[in-house]
Amino acid sequence: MSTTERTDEELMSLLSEGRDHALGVLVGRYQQDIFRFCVHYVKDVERARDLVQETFIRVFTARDRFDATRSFRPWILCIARNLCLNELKRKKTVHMESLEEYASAAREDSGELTRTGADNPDQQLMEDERRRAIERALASLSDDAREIVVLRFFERMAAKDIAEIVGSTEGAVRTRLHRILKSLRDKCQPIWDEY
Amino acid sequence: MTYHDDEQMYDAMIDLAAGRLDRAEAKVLERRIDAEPALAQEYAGVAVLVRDLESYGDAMVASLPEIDVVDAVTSRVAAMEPGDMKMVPFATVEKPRPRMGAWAAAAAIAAALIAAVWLGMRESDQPPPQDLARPLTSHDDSPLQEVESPHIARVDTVEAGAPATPGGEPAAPQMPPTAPDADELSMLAKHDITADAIIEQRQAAARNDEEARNVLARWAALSPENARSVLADTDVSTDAIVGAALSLGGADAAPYLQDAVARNPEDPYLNLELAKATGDPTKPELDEENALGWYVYARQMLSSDPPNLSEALKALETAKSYTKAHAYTLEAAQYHEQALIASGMSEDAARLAAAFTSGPSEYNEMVALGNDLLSYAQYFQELGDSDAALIITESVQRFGEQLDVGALFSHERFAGLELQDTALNFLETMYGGERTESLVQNMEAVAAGFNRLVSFIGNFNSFLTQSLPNDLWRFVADIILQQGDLQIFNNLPQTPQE
Repeated sequence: MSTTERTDEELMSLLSEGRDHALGVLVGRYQQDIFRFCVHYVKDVERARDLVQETFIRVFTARDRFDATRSFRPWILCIARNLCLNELKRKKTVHMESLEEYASAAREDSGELTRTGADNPDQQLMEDERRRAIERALASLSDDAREIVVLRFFERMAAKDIAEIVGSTEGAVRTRLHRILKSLRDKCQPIWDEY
Repeated sequence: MTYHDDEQMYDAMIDLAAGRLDRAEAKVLERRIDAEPALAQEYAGVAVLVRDLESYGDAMVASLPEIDVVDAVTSRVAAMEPGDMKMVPFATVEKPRPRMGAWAAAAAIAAALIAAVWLGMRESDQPPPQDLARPLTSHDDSPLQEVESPHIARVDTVEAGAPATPGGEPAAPQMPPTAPDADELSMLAKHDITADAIIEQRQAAARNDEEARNVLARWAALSPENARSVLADTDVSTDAIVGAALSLGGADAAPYLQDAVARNPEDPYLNLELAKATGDPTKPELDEENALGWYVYARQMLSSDPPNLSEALKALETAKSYTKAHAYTLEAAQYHEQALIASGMSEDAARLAAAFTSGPSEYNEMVALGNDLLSYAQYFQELGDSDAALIITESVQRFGEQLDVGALFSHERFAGLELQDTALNFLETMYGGERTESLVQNMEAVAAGFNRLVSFIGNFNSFLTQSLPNDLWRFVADIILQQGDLQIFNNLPQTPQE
């Protein structure tokens, strides 16, 4: 079996045995995910790119601490998250700017709206209004609440994995998620009713 | 499929709407949704939300550039020295596991050191330092363990009685100067206490002269008689009245604080102190930059009879969204200065006394607040409500982080680190002794924070033991009373940084 066909956990085992080439495979496999994840926190492409590197360096130095019976992805995301939070703390601004604000700025710069495949103006208007409603609703959330939403819906993570990343329990994450989504629904309902 | 609670089923509905639910489970859930109209309505809302959120997220992600850091990472790894190559694991011991790993040992050393060297500045409001250093959990009897690791904070300890040089090496022990009788000194009337005398005592305190610390604390304290005398004087400033009232505290302070709030209804500090004096609910929304009021409010809700858990959890949820917290040490010190002037101390002496004794009582309050909340977490854990226990404990950890970030004074930062330390201990217990990666990394960060604070205190004391012109002492006091002691080195050129 070639290295690239191995699972993440098998690659970590190889890494802890001194087969450093396994790291390159993991980097190639996860770099975009970690980059996207870091941008959610630091809202800076260059800094996020640096944090991706730092994350993998830390994966390498902590390779003997990885428990191969557990899932790799939440573990590396937890490392990335802590690096991001430390970075924000270091800059004395502990807040989680959202990816959507970065993308909004990028859209404004480029003069483009996100096209969703709608093929008529009315539908486009509806899509735009719904997107703006989501944007406003997300902006009104606390950093911690928005983090949970980002991990659940943008990163498509299960509650169990989110719990591991943020250092909570599955039950507490589900409870929080339920409350947060209720809040989002209340905020978005008027727009849904109209469109 | 049996769902243990509504939240678990709700979570399954999210996955169903996203098309990620296991086929068998999906069929069962769909049948149930079809059979229960209320559930069908709930699901309809969930489905819309899931669709909007996921498509929104996809659109955002599509705007990001592709990166390629494979070569950068592998080059860095190839260039690493052998000593950098491995993070040595914590020393693991088969059952029974040590309850304090190396990170906590470092934190405890630093905490005890900070407490012994730094605290006890205002005698009237301080328990013995060793009590303050002890974490909430009782399992602190494990042997300290030395672990070699570049990733675990090392405490650069300051030798007792010897100030650290800015380079971190302990200096040769210095004998304190011959001191006059400390009891006689501490009995001086306020108007007899000079600025030079305060400087002398502070310098001695920086050399770990405990008697000097006690003298300074007594000089800066307002006795109840002092305070009442100020309050009865019609010729003093309103700030002096507030300062004197705060030193009395409780019901005695209430009428004066009510007057102060009537004059400044939007002042968050005065409102908070009034709430503490009267027992009325706080108004945490008054300070948009400080989470403290929400934690105080949460404690009030939990301590009501019966405990109002849902209000408390809402308050904690709100509190966690704040960037920072602080204990209003700056405001308290400024009012204290005015009260000392009104009590007969010269302006010069009052400024120095207020500056050099600020912090310990706020430290006490913050740690007590955090420990109270943790005791409620323990209470709910014992009742079987582990979710509430976890939310409260995580909130205390967050409070500690916020204090650390928002601190203007070293005592506030110390309180923040202590609370994080204690909350993380609790979390480890809640996880059944398991150390998740997140827990470990947070613990390491706290240990590093303690290390930095020890270094700052060492540097500050070292600075104060030098022969400084009087103007510089006054300048230092001004900085403390305007910006907090953590800003000292940012305002003094060519001095060691924190």
